[in-house]
Amino acid sequence: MSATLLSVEALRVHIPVTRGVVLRRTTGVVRAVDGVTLDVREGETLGLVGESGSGKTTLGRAIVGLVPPTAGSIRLRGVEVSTLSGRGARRARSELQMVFQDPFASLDPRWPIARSVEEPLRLHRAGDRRERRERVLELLELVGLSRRMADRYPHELSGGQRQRVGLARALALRPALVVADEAVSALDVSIQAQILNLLQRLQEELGLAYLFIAHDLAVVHQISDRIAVMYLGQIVELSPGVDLYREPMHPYTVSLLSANPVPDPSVEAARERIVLPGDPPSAAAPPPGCRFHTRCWLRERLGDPEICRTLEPLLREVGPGRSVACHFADEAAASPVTRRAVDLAGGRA
Amino acid sequence: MLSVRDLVVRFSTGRGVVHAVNGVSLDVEPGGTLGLVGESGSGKSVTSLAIMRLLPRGGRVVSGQVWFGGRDLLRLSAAEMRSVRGREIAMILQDPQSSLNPVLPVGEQIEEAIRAHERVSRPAARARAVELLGAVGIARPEEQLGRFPHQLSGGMRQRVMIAIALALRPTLLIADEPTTALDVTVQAQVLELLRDLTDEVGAAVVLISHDLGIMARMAGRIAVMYAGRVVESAPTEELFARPRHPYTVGLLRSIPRIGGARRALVPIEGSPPDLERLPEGCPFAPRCAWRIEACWTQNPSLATDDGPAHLVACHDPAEPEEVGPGRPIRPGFAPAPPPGIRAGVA
Amino acid sequence: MIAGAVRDDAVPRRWRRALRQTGGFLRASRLNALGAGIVAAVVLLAVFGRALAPHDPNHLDLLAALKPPSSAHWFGTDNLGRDLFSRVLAGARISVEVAVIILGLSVAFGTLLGIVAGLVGGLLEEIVMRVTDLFLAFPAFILAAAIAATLGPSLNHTVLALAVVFWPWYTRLARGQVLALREREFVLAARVAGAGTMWIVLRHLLRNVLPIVVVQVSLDVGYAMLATSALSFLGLGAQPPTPEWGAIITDGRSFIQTAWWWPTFPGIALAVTVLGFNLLGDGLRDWIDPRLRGSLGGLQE
Repeated sequence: MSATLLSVEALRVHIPVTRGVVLRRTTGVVRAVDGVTLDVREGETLGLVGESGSGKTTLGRAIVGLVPPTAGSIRLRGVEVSTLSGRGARRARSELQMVFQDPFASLDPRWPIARSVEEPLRLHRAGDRRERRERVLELLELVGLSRRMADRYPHELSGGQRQRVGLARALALRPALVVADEAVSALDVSIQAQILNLLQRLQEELGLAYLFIAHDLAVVHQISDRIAVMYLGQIVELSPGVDLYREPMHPYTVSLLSANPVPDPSVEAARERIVLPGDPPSAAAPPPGCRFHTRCWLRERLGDPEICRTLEPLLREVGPGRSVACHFADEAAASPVTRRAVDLAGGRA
Repeated sequence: MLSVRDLVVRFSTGRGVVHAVNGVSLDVEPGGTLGLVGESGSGKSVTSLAIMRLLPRGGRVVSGQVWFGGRDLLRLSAAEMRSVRGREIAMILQDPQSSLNPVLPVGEQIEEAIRAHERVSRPAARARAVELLGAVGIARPEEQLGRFPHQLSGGMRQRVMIAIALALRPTLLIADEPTTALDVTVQAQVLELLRDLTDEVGAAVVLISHDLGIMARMAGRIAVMYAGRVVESAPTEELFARPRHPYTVGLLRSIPRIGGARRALVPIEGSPPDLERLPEGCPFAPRCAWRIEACWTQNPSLATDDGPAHLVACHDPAEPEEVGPGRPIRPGFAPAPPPGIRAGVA
Repeated sequence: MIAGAVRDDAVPRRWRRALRQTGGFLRASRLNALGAGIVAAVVLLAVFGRALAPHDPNHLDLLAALKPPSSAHWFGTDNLGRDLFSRVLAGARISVEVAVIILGLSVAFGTLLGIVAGLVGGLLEEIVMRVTDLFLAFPAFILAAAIAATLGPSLNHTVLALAVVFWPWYTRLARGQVLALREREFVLAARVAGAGTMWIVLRHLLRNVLPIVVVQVSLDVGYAMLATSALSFLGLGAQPPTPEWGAIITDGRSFIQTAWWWPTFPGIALAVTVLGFNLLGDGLRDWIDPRLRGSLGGLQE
């Protein structure tokens, strides 16, 4: 097993909600990330799945230093990066880079793309002008763009090409970890597949690690070695990808799998679906006890045990590399509902 | 019940003409669900807007017919078309946030939709609104009537849109990416609801989506669009089991799947064509691994293949054994180079 | 070597792009071309007007007083026998200079303040925005007239008064843009790459705020010229014998029965110039808006 690259411990990011213009007062706190612990190993892809409001984007942004943590630690090869400031922070954080979701917003519309890719090099005073230019052209080729495109503007490029430019920029400083936040979800499927394959090729060539954030289970499954599932600011299950999809142990993971549409009509026709009631609660006022209990399908079947409403389940190790935060993880794993939900043996093509 | 014939739609921009829809023909059976699949720029949304005669500024139908209930919708007067919209054909759009009026309570908006077409009293319309909100699974509907769109979640807003769309029991519902803005678990609720309610009302559905998983779940028949044309059309089972058009094969091999061993994706190379400068031949030819010489010069028309229900527009469709690998596996086959290069003009 | 070659190629490419865009703008509407034509003519006259003028604009010739337009005096003469055509040409220069100074001051001050307020936020933003509210609550022209009157009648004071009236608009505009831009992903990307606030302001924000400011400026130029002339007309601005258009009109006002040409030609010059800038500004705004939306994202299918 390879060494730990990044370790996040008991991380909290609480965002105050303010009201009023002249007399600003805090009216509440959104617990966007509320006690997250996870590791990313050298060269691996950790997938992070969750719905909107789960805190996955905030977690990613906290790791690259865009959002200050409220509590907890973020260590890169053992060095705390969340409290560093000045030049030290800049150097440490150059190893943590990010690819954004919207290929139309992530490049400055007034800059030729070569300038966007060069920006990190200039900020870190890497080489002289000619060396930087050469490096930019290399980077463009690395992500599958031709050198001739260097002086084009973003609006002259397609969505997929822009996303490649965003990737080239993230790779400019030779990072060890790239946080990809919904990096392919705005793209058309045929382009999405190109970028996913590119990400995998780059990982092999450069030994990169990814924190791959997405809401699409199939996309995360395609690229991740391990997968963490987030719900309302917390990780509810963390497993090697294969295990997570074969035997999910958290009722929320089961319902995500069940809701995910499968591109195979015979599977779809035979499937039984768990339809969760209502919308996810607000992260400003998470339910007491287990945060999922208000929508949990298992709780009913177990006769509404009180513990779910009163005691917050901790993320505990249940097997090699597997953790889950549910009081009734074994029951969830063994439930016939789970069996039917994951019985997706189809997927012929 | 709905029959679109050779629809051509163009947009004039300041800089040129966008060939958005280039001869689309579609048929929807009563009570059936037709799925329109395609990527951005494929013309699927424009087709639906043209059917509703709601094209944005700059867009116009150049030719074609839209037969619905024995009439060509494109020849109706504006007043006649207004009475078709909402009453006979309803529409749900992707973004419920912008399809609802932000300054009116949702109850009033449902009542308005009813009263626009039927002479009913306010209290009667109100009672119908409560009933409809209940039917779309909104708890305590009486209390929700007075709420404004921004006070509802995305899933709730889309439920309200469904309530409005089905208020007058239309015979056709056009749903354009109805769940794209929603989370997976909420998407599952809304799709389920959409299917149950359209079954109950007996409405036919045109469902527009880029998501083949949703299509597999919802559609009875699927039409795949590319560059403003239908390139393949078949019953859902048939399309997934025996795709013939190289673009359909490419789509199916581009989507990641859960379950079973992870397999490498086979993406479609390149990007979709510029709709202002469509090539002379098949618009998919530059990205196609199956292309032959004819593909560069002649745009194939949609014709039957593998039985009358399966239509495909391709000079050289994929064989069943080529679907798995996602590329041609005939010995000695190579995609035909562009004519310029062959002539040595490079 | 290769890097150098590509680099050299980049410059003409940028120029070609600029030329193509200018052509596109002029072709987009006939009014665009008309506005641009008028503005170009006014600017040329402002620069070369004195050299082209047949007479010294302040030369007195009492023998030729109040002559109607003729081949010697195209626009006629005033009661002191000054050539009105030469005075109108000289006035073009004054109007352009005045507009440049007024807008230069208010744009520089207002835009910078707006960017800083938008970026820093908090109490500073609060104070700045309330001060702009205070300025914007007064009717602009009355405020400018009051300031000019307090300072004493002179063209310089008029310019200052109008700059004081104009800056808050630019502060609001710039702050609004910064609020929208600072959460944009390309700004976040720069921060992830290690950029500080100054870098982001200078390299990203200014360049993206500028086109919108330019459009606003082209709309405001006509108004600044008109306001200057109006203040001069009221006796608060340019003083005799300065050939400012508003001042010439004031002088000629009482002669309109006997020498119609005296107030009329500077009036036409003023009206056409303001029209030209307004057409150009409107055209730029309409033309740049959809493009900005396109290049700043959101124009997917």
